[in-house]
Amino acid sequence: EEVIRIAGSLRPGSMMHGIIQTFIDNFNSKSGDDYKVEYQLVGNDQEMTQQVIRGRLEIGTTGLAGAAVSIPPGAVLSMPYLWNNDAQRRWATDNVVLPVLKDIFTENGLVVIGMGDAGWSNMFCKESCSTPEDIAGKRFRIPPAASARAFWEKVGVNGVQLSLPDFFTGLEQGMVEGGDLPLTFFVTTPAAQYAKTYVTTNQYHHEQIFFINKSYFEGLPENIQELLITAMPSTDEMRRRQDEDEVLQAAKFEAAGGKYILLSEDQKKVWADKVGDTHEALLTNLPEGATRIYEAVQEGKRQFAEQPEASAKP
Amino acid sequence: MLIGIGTFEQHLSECEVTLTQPLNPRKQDLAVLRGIYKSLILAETIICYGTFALGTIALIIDIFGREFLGNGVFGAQRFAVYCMALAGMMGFSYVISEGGHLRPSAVDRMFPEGWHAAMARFGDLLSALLCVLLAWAAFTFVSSTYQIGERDMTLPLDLWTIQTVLILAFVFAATKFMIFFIAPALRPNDNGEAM
Amino acid sequence: MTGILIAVGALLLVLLRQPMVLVLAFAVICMHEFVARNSSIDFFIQDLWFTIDSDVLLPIPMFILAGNIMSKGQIAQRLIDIMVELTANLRGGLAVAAVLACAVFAAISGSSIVTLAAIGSIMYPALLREGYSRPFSLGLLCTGGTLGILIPPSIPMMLYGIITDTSIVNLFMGGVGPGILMVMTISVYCVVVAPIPSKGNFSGARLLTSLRRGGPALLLPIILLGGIYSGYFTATEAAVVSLVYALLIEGLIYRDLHLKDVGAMLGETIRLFGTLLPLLALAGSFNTILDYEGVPRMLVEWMSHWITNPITAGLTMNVILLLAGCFMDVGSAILILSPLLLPLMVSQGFDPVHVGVITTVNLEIGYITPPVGINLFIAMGVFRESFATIVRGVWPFVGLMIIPLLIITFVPWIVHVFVP
Ligand code: NA
Ligand code: NA
Repeated sequence: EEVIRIAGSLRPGSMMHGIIQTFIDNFNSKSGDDYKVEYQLVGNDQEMTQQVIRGRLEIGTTGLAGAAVSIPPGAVLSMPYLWNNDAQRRWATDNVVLPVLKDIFTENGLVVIGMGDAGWSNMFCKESCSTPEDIAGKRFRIPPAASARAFWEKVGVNGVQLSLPDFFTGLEQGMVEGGDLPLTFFVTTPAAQYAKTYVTTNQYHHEQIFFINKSYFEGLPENIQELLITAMPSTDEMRRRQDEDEVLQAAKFEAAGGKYILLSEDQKKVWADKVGDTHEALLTNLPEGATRIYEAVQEGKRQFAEQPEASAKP
Repeated sequence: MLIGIGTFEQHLSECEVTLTQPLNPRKQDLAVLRGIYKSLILAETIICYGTFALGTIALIIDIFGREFLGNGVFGAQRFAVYCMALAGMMGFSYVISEGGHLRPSAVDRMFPEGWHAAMARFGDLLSALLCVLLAWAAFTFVSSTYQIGERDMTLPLDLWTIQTVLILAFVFAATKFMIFFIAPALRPNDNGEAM
Repeated sequence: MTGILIAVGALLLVLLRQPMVLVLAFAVICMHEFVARNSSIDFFIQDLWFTIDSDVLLPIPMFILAGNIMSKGQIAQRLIDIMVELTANLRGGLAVAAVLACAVFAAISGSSIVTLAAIGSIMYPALLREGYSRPFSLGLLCTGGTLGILIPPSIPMMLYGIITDTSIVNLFMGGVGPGILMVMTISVYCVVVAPIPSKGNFSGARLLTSLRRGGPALLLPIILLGGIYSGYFTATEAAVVSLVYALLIEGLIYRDLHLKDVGAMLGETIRLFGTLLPLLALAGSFNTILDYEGVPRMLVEWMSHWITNPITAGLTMNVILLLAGCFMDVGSAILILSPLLLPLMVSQGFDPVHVGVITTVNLEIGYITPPVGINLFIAMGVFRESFATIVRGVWPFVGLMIIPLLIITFVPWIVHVFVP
C-alpha cells in the first residue's frame, strides 16, 4: 500500500480541513488496497509548497499567498481591489484566469487538481472603525506580501510587520490597533478575542489551490490519476461550503460580542478610491508570468461584462 | 543519536604551527597555501562582520523609526533575517579556523598521542570530502531555486542570490579542510584543554 | 543494517578528531539518503535553508551580542553585585539569585534559549567565582533558562494556542502558577544542596550602594518588562532594545566601551552564532524527517491503547511528551503532537488550557534532556563546556522538575488559579 500525503497548514476542525477530509474519504473509499491518502500537517505554507515542487511531499494545498515564494506570479490575484465583485471574480477566474494559472503551476512542476475560495482579507480593529479616516496614522499589522504593503501604505496607517503569534499578543496588549485576515481564519484565532470590529473592506481575495507534484502524478496509474481529480470536491462545492462557513463564523463572532460590519458597495468604493491603482507598480517587481495572469484578469473582466448574467448580479 | 557518545570539547586556540609532518609541502608551496588560507579568512571576516552589522542596523532603524518617527521600514526584518543567514552560514566556515566547532574528545585516549596528528590529518580529508558533497548538494538545491524562480514575497529579491551563501560556506569549509590535509602546519591546534 | 553503517561512519569521524557538527551532518545526511522516504541530501540542504531563513531566529544573535556587551562590560558585574547583596544572608544565595534572575528575564522573554543566553552569560562566571561547581552551575542555568517558556510571555504557548484554538491569554495566565511553583522548587533545591554557606553579612547600606551603582543596569529588565507588558515589544524588539540600551549604558554612562571592544564582541558573537546555527539546522532537519515519517503520530496511536482514566491519561501524556522532548524541538513537538494529544486528554476530562500548560512544562524539561536538548547545545556554545559536563550537571534538575510536573498534571488548581 502506497501512502500519498496531502500537506497543508490547516487545523483539524476548520472548514478547509473538512474539504481535505472529504477529498481523503472520497479517494480512500474507491482507491482499493494499493493507494491511500493521508493528511500531513506542515506549519509553513511556503516550506510545504517547496517540498511538493521538489517531490518530498506529494500533494499540497495553500492560498496563493502561501505559495508566493515558489509561484511569485500568483501574487497578482492578491493585488488590492483587483475585482469589482464576487460574481465577476468567480466567473473570470474559472473561465479565463485559472487556465493561465494552471500553466504557470505546471511550468513549476505542479499539477493543479482543485481550487476553492478561502475568502476576502478584511480590516479589523480593536475600537470602532469603518472608514480609512478612522484608522489613519494608527499602528496596524501589515502581512509580509508586497501587495499588502501597497494597500496599507495607501490607507495611511503606521505599518508594523509582525509574525502571527506576535500579532495576536500585540493586538491584545495594544501594540497594534488592528490588521487584516480572512473572516473564517480570523474567527478561529485569538485576534477575534481582542479585535471587536470586523469590516468587510474586501481588499484582496484568497484562492485556495490544491496541487500535486507533476512527475509523481504522471508516474501513477491512469485510474489513480483520475481518482485524485474526481475525489477533489468541485470548485462550486468548495465555494458553497466557504460561503456557509462565512455566515456561520460571522454569527459566532457576533455572538461573542463582536461587531461585524458589512460595507455597502459605495462604502467599499471609499476604500478602493483611497488606495487607488497599485497594480502597475506591483507588476514591475514580479516576474513575467505575473503579466500573463494580470492580462487574463483583465480579459476575464471584459468577457464577464459581455455575459447576460453580468447585469443581473450586482 | 550519536551525540550521546563521549565528551565534547571545543578545540580552542589560534592557528599555530604545531605539527611537522614528513609529507609537508615545500616552503614556497606552503606560502601559497598560507596565502589562500588567509584570503579565505579575510573574505569570511568581511562577510560575517559586514552582514551582522547591517542586519543589526536595519533592525535598529526599523524599530526606532516606528517608535519615534511614526513609520518603520517595510522589509527591514526580512533584510535582517537574510543578513543573519549570511553571517551564520559564513560563520560556520569562519569558526573552523578559530578551532571553535565543538569536538568530541573522549576517544582521544584510545590511541597513542603520536598517532593523533596523522589521524586528524586523515579526518580532515574526510571532512573536506563531506564538505565537497555538501557544496555539491547546495549547488543542486540553489540551481533548482533558480529554475523554479523562487522569490522573496516582501523584498524584490530572487532567493538564489541569498542561498548562494550555502554553496560558498561549504566550498570555503572544504578548501580549508583540504589545506589542513595538505599542510597540517596550518591546522588550528585542536588539543584544547581537558575539562 | 543501515543504522549500523551510519553509526560506524559517524564514529570514524569522531575518532579522526573532526567537529561534532560534521559528524551529526553525516548522520543526518545518511538518514535523508537511506532512511527517509522520498528524501536525499538535497532535502537536507533545503531543511538547512528553512532553519536559517526564519524570523524566529532573529532575537538570538541580538541577545547574544547584548549579552556579550553586558557580560564583558560593567552591567553584569553591577547586577551581580546587587544580587550578591540581596542574597547575602541566604545559603546558596547566588544560586537563588541566578534562579530569580532567570525568572525575571523569563517574564520579558518568550524563549528558553534567549533566557539562558542572556542570564547565563552573566551569571555563569559569577557562580564559578563564588565557588559553585561547573556541573551544578551549568545545570542550574540550563534549567533556569527553561523558565522562559513557562513564565509568560511564551512562544510555545502561542503556538499551542494557535494550533489548538485555545485562548493564548488564558494559557499565559495558566503558566503563572506553575512558573512560581517551578521557581520555588528550584530555589529550595539550591538552598538545600548548595555547597556555599551563607555569608551572613547582609548590609542595608551596601545594598543601597550597589543599587545606586547598578541602577541604570537594573533599569533594563524593568524597561523590557514594561515594554512587553505594555505591548510595545516583540521578542526581536526586546532584543534590539536591550542591545541598544546596553551599548548606551556601557558607552555613555559607565564609559567603559570603545569601538575596538565592540569589534571584539561582534567577533565573539559571530563565533558563537556560527557554531550554533548549524546545530539548530541539524536539529530542524532531524525533526522534519521524524515528522514526515509519521513517528510522533505512531507514538500517540500506540500509547492511546492504555489510556482509560485521567491518571493513566496524565501519566501517558507526560511520558509521550518527555520522550518527544528528548528528540524534538518544542515548536515541532507542539505543532505535531498537540492536535493529536488534546482530544485524547479532553476525553478524560482535562481542559485545553490545562493540557497546554502540561505540554509546555514537559517540553520545558525537553530543553535540557539529551540527546537533543537545545539548552544543552546553547550552553556548550555560551559557556564553552563539554556536553558530558553539562549533562552531568543537568540530570539532577531533570529529576527535580518531575515533581512540579506531576503536581501541575494532577492538581489543576495550580493552573487555573490565575486564569480569569
Ligand atoms: Na517567558
Ligand atoms: Na531534549
